[in-house]
Amino acid sequence: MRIHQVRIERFRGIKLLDWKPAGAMVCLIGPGDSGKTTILDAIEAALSPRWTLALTDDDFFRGDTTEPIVVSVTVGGLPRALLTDEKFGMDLQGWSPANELRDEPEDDDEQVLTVQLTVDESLDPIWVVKNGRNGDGRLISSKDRELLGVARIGSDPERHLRWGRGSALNRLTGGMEDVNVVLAAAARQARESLAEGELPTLEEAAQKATVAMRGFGVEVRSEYLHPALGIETFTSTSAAVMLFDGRVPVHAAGLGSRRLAAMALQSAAVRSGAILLVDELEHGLEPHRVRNLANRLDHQAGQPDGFGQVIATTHSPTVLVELPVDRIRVVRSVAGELTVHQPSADLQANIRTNPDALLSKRVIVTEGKTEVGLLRALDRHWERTHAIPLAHQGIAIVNGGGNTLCLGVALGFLRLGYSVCVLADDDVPLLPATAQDEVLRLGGAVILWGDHLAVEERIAADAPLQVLQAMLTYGGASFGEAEVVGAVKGQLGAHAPLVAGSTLTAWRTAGVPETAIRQALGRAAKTSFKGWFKRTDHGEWLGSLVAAALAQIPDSPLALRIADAESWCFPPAADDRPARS
Amino acid sequence: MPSRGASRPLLTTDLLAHDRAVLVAPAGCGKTQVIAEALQRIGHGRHLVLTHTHAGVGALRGRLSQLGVPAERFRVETIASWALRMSANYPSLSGLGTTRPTGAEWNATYPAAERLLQTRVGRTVVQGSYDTLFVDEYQDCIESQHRLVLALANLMPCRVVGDPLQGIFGFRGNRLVSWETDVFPQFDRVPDLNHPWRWDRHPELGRWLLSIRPALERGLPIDTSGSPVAWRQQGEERSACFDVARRDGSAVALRQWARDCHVLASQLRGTFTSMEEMDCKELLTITRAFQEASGSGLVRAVIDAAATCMTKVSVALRPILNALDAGRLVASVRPARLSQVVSELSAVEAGLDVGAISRGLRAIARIPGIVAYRRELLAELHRTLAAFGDGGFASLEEAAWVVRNRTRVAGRAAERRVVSRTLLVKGLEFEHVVLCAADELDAKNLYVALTRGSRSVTVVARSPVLHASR
Repeated sequence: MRIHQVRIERFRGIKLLDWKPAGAMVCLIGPGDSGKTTILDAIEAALSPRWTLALTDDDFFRGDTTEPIVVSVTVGGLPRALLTDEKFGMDLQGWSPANELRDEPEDDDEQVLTVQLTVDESLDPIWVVKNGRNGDGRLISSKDRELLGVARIGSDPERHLRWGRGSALNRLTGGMEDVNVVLAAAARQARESLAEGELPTLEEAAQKATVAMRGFGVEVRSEYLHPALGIETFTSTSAAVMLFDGRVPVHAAGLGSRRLAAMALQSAAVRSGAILLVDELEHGLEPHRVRNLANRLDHQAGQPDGFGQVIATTHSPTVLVELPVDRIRVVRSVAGELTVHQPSADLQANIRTNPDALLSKRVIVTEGKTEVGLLRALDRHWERTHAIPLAHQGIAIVNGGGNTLCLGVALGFLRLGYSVCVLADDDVPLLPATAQDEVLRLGGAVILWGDHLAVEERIAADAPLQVLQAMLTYGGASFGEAEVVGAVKGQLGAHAPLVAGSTLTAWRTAGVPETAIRQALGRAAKTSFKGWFKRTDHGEWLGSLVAAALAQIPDSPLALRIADAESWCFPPAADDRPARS
Repeated sequence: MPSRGASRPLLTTDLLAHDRAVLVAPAGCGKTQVIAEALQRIGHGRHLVLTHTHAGVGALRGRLSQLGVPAERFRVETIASWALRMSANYPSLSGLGTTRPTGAEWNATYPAAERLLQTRVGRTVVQGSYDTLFVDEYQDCIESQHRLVLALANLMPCRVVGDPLQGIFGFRGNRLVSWETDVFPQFDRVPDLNHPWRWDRHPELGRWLLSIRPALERGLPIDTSGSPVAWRQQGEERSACFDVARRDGSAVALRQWARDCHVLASQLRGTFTSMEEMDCKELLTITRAFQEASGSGLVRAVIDAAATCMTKVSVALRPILNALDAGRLVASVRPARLSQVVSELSAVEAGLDVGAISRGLRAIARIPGIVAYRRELLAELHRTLAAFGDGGFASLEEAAWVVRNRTRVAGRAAERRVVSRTLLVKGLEFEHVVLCAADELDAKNLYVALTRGSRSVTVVARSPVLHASR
C-alpha cells in the first residue's frame, strides 16, 4: 500500500493540509509546533482498524466543533481482497502517472481508494470510501480498514509485542482459533503456567519474529524468542501472551529496542506492504542503530517484501545525512495552514555536510568558508551582548559554495520556508543575477561586503592596521613570510620597491600610502596561495580579530555590514517566524 | 427435490471439463439443479451466476442454499442489473448515459459494461471478484448481452445453459442470440440434459414432451392423438378450464394476448385470476385517475377501477351511477344491499382519506354476485393505497411505481389458478395447463406452453394435429 494524497481539515493544530507524499520513504522535519505528528495521527485515524476513536472537542481545530474534522487519504497498492464487487471494486479511482487523482482510473493509472474519516460535534467517527460517483461514500468497516495495513510506531510499541488485538504479532500469526481454545482451557486451570511447546502456532510466529528483529538490530540472546504468559492479570485472551527472550519479556528492553522490535514485527507481519508511520525515527536509539534503521527502512520501502511506504518524522541530523534528499519533507505551519515542501536536489550536498541547517528555522548562507569561520567568531562575540548563541536562536550557518552556487542554496532554503540571509563577497557578481532578485522577492536578505570587495579586502580596507599586521604574520606562518610579503609586493605596483621586511609600520615610514597597503594586502590575502583564509578555521581566527576590533571602527563599512548581519540574527522584536507565509 | 440419479455427477463433470461450455437443457430437466451442483462441486472460489429474471435469481439462490453452498461462494444477479451496476459505477469509462435506465435505455447498459471490460479497472474488479461465470436461460440473451458474456468469457471460464426451443423473450428491435451462428461456434457443447425430472410422476408425459422437440425444431406438425395430451375442440376453452379447476392442484390457462386473458378470466367467473403484465400499466393508469380526480369524479374513478377488476360492477352499482349522473350525492342512494358501499364511497366523495378508497373497493367486492377476476391488480392497488396512506410518497403514482417494482424483484404471490400468456409463465411450473388457442402459437411458444403442466396438458385447437404458426 502507498498513500498518494492526504487532506486534513480542522484536526487539532491543522486547519488545512493538502499533501501528496510522492515517495515510498518520506521523512517529515520541521519546527516543533509545525504539526508533523498530527499528520501521522490523522493518517492513522483515517486508516487504522480501530473500532472507534477517543476524540474530544480539543481535537477540533481551535476547539471549534461547528465544522467537522475531515481526513481523506488516497491509498494505492491495494490488496486484492478489497477490490471485489462487494467490497470496493466499484469505488476505485485512478492515480495518474502525472501524480493526479482521477475519479475513474485510466489504464495507465494506479488503482486507488480514498478513505475519508469524518467527525462532527457528536464525536462519532464515520469512515467511508469516497469518490465523485458514490455520493456520501460507502462505509468501510474496521475489518476492511485493517486490510490497508497501516501500522503506527509511537510511544507505546509494547502493544505489538504481545498477542493482543490488532498487534503485529497477531497479524504475523494468522488464524488464532486454536490458540484461543487452548488459552481458554488454560484460564480454567486457574492460571497454571503453560508448558513449552503447547502453542505451536505462537512458537512459529515467535521464530519469525526473532529473525526479523535481528535484522533490525535488536539483540536476542537466546536462540529464539518464545511465547509465554505475562505476569499481569491473566485473562483467557491471547493478549496475555507475549514474547520472551529466555526468562525476560522483550517489552522489558529499552524503549529503542522495543520500537525496533515492533517495527521488525510489522515488517514481517504484513507481506503485501504495510504503511508504517513512525514518530521520531531516532527515538531511544544510538546513532549507529539510527543509521541502520533509516537505511533499512529506506531500502525496504516500496520493495516487494518490504513496507509499502514509510512515513516518519525526525529531529535527527543522523537521519538526514543517511537519507537521500528526495526523501525529506519540510513541514511549515502558518496559523494552522500547513504546507509540505520537498528540498531541491541543490541542497543534497548542504544537507550531507550540514544536516543541522534543515533542522533549524533560519539559515545564513555564506559565499564561502571564510564567512562561515567569521560568523562562528562573531557568534561568540555577539553572545556577550545577546546572551544566546545562534544555534539556540534556531540559526544555522551554511557554506553556499561560491558565487555561482550560493544563491541557489539560498533559494532552496527559502522555498522550503526557511528565513534566509545571504552573506557574500562583492568582488564578482553573484550568479545568476536574476536569482538575487528572487531571493529578495521571497523575503530573503542579502548582505554584500560592498565596494566590489571580497571579505579579505573589506577587512584589509577597514580594520585597524594591527589587524592587517596580524593577517600578514598569520599568512606568513602558513605559506612562508617571504612568500606572503612577495605576494603583497606584487600587488603594490609602483610602491613595491619601497617595501622591506614584514612590518607594516615600516612600510608606511618608507612612504607606502596606507590605502595602497590596505588594498594590496587585501588582494594578496584573497588571491595568493588560493587565499590565506579560505578555510573555516582560518576564517574563524580572522573573525575573532575583527570582532575584537569592531569597537574601534564603529562607522566603517565593515562594522556596518556586520551590524546588518547582527540585526538579522537578533531582530529587534522577538520574531522568529519564517519570513515567508 | 427428490434424490436424483447417479448420472448427475457426470453432467457437472462434462460441464466443468470445458472452460467454455454450453449445455442444452430442455424444460423440466433440472437445469437449475445442474448449475447449483456444479458450483457445489467446484467447492472453492467465488462465482458469478447471471440469469434474466428476478424469479430466476430467486430459484438459483434457493437451490444453492438447499445444497449448502455458502453465500460467499457466489453472486447471483440478473444480467441487466449486473451490467448496470458495473457500468453505472464507472460512467465515464463505460459511457453509460443514465444510471436509472427505463425501457429501451436498458439496452445501453450491455455495451457500456462491455466497454468497461476493455479497461484495466473493469478487468481488475471482475477477475478479483469471480473465478468463473455461469449464465442461465441463455436462450433469453439478446445479442448485446451475448457480446457481454463473450467479453467475460475472455477473462474467466464461462458455462452457459439454456434451451433454444424456449427462446421467446424477444423485445421489439432486439434480436435474441442465435444458437446456430452465435452460441454453438463459441462454446463447447456438452451432452444435452435428457431426463424430464418435472414429470417423474407422469413419466409418459415427460417422455412425450421430449420426443416432440425434433419436430418442433424443424417446424413439423405435432399429432396429439394417442399422446398423454388431451385435445379439445376449439370453442371449448371455458369448459376445458372448468374441468381443470375441478381437479386438485395448480392450473394455468394460456392465451396469446393480454386482453384475451382478462376476458377469459372474467368469463371464468373468478375461478381463475388474471396474471398482470410485469410493468402493469393499468395500475399506473388507475392511480393517475385517482390522483387527478376528486369528489364525485373520484367516486366514478373508484367504480371504474372496480369494474376493471371485478365482474358485474356497473350493474350492481347502477343506483349509485344514476345518482352521480343526476348530480346527487352518493349518500342519497337508498338500497340497503348497497349501504356499506354507499357509506364508504360517500367518504371517498368527501375526500376524507385514501383508506376510504380501499374500504370502498372491498365493500364493492363483497356485494353478492360480484366476483374479482383481476385479483393481482386489485391487491397491488390496495398495497399502493396503503403505502401512500403510510406517507413517504409524493403521489399515488409514485407509490404505485415502488409497489410494482417491489413485486418485480420479490416475485408475485403464488395464485392457485391463473390465466396468463406463455411469456409471463416461462420458468413457472403448474400441475395443469390448458392451451386455449394452441393454433396461434409458434413452435417455441407452443413448447413453453406444453411444458408448463407437470400432471396434465390440455390443448384447445381446431384439430388434434397442431401446426405451429410461423
